[in-house]
Amino acid sequence: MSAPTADSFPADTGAQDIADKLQAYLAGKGVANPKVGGLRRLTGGSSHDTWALDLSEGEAITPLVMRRNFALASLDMSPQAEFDLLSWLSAQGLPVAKPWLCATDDSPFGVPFVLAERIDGTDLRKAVAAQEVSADPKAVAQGLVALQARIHALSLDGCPLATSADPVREAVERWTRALLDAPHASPGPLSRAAAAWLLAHTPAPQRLALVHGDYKANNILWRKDGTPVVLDWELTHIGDPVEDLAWTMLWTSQYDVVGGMLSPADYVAAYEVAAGLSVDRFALHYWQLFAFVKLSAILLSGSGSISEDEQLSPSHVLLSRAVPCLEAGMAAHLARLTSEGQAA
Amino acid sequence: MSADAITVLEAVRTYLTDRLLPTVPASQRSDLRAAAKLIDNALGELDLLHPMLQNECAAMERLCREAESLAAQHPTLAPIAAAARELAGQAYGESLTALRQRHGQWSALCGDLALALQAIPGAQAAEQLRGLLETLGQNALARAKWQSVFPADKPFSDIMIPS
Repeated sequence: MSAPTADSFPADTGAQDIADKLQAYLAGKGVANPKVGGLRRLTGGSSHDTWALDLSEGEAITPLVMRRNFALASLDMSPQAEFDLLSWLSAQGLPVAKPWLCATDDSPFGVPFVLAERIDGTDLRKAVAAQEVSADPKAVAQGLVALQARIHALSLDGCPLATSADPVREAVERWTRALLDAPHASPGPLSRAAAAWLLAHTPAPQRLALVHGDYKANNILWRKDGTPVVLDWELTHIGDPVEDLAWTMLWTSQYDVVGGMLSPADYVAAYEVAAGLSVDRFALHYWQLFAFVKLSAILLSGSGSISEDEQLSPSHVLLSRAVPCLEAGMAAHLARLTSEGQAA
Repeated sequence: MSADAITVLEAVRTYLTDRLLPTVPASQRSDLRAAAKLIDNALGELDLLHPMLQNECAAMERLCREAESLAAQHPTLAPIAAAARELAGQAYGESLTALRQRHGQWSALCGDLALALQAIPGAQAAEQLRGLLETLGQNALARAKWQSVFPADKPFSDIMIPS
């Protein structure tokens, strides 16, 4: 789907209009005398916006977040699929924001929206930077690694995500294609070389698992009580859990799990302890190269929200200019993988 | 004296940040800030782009011509070596536009070469591939200072846990 034009944004005139429409919609869904208050915009962009609100039903007040999708990025999952996944994860006891309602075709805004539990907290990267995390950073990180291993250990029985006969191969094909076919960009030699190498060397996974797909410190909400909530499940899929580790290892500022709270080696060792298995090093190196390709595709395509026939926004151009940094990473990893291949 | 390109860009940037930014709705401010950052990055790039592209073209030409040494044993390299000879012999203009076009042609040829070398077993092809990757990686890294997403001094994670 292409990104929206100015005309395709929801035709509401402001917070009160949104509150009125939402109240009427919820009343039609059987919520008794709903009152929407405290509506305030949290984030907004070309593909979605999010709002905080308080829903009153008589004496009961429920703090909620509303996310409206103006354009479905083709590389993200649909709002309904994400709602179903979060419902399932919540039922499994995972620390996620509990989804409350998903509206698609009958949305009063003309675009899908999801209501979910609003949790007070700060994203972990910001919380660490602001020195708001009082616990030992190493212990915090080890807890997050254990949580990541717990996600990977979930039984896939009943998981609502669709999958294919070979989800690992499918992921590699999907993201290499997304990079090579990115709009407004012709793939450079390093992107082409990395994509070809990945397609030629896809490892068989030790196991299939639920892969978060974007597990990093700024997708962890750190609650005031010192417990984490895992956010941003749009890229979640069934795949090789080592892919998830490699993605986490891509983010290595002093405020991240890897490079900040734990050394890379300690991170992998902590995962091996938590998961009770050893991580195949070739697979890890493979998925590290894949992480550069996947992030490049995301930066170039806005997760698939940009089409060839529309003008890029300055924000998209700004992101796309970071791709050479990732290509430098591809070059370094490919060179080492080539050396490893020679040594093998 | 009329304003040159750098002065024009600086003036546009100042207009965006000082005059326009305070007047636009909140939903448009992030794009406006991004536009100003892009101009900042472009100002730095314009200063260095021409000699940088010339040097990179020369390096890529050298790498593609080196493929000739393997082309006799590996027929997949022959068309790349021939294309490199042809491109090296072509005249091109001095303008930045002409140079960018030539850079794109050498980059495409280097992409073909990388793919071909990956498919050839043996130490010699692997050695050439490593040299190619190193040069292309340096070319990519040279652009790290003209982006605003990653820290310029640590633009990518190069962690690889030893096997």
